[in-house]
Amino acid sequence: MKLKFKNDTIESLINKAQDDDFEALEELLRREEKNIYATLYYMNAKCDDISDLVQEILFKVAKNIKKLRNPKTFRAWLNQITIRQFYDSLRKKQKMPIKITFENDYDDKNKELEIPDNSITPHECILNDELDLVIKKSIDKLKEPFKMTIVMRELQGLSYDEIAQATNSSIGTVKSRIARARCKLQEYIKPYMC
Amino acid sequence: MLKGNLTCTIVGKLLTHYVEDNLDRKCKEMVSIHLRNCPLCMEKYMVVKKLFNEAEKKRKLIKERENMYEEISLYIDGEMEKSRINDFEATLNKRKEYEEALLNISKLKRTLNNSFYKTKYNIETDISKKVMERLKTSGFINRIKNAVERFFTCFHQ
Repeated sequence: MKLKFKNDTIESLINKAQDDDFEALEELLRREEKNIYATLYYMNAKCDDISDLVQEILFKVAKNIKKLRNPKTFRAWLNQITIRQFYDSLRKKQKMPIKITFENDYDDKNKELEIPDNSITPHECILNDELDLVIKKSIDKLKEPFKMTIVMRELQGLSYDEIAQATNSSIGTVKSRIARARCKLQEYIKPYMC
Repeated sequence: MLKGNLTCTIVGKLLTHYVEDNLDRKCKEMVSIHLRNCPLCMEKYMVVKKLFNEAEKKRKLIKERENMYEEISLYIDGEMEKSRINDFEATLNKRKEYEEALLNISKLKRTLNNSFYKTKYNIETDISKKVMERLKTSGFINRIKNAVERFFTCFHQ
């Protein structure tokens, strides 16, 4: 964290960023990047794609920060962009045609033989703890809207109102999604909780 | 067997709709007459009815549990309307299942929060820096584009 912005709230950073303060904008993005990264991680985006997706989301935030009228709605707005970008990436992947090629890499004698790396990836290292793995898998078992809602609530600490804005749904829907997601997670995780 | 103007095969097909009360009045009456006169179909009906009641009971229990979880979630998340809090706390004191569920949800919440926190702070990223560089580059490119456009417009004039 830059000491200069140590005492700045998100809202004051937004105000400064809207007044063309690039340093404040960078600090704002820096404070949010882990949140977005972790959200996408629990939404089960592919590990290789997460960094690109986060970059795309933050770029959109940076480019459009001046369009945000009420800084209080920043978290909901940011999550709206995250959700849109995440589903867009899924759609793009579905549309991508399978590439069939006649080129044979094995003919290239100079090419070194590649040995697949089966060791634990950094992301798996993070979840080395069994309970963390169980939590990740349990969230993965939830259906899409429940997954996003519970991650926004428990990971990002968004209010019901903010979640409703971000997911474009009613408060009633958010209430029932949170309750049902907790019901299911309770079922899945209970045997592992001490 | 034709009883009440319906054969056993047709009644067999209509049975689930009859149990779920999806038939119109006339149709329902015809099935009723058949069932009263055909012990075999009546036996089938009793089995289907029993299964339906069990499923209905289970569905009701799930719904009740979900409602309870919804109320407790609102309470724990500080999203409950102030006017509802006293009533809810009274229910909490009266009903043991509510108290138990409250403890379970709090525990779940704590577990999830700890795990999320750990995951989040183990992530090493430096994406914001890259984004800022990209933003500055795109701004620079746009400025050049605008300058070139302006130059050509002047040139044409």
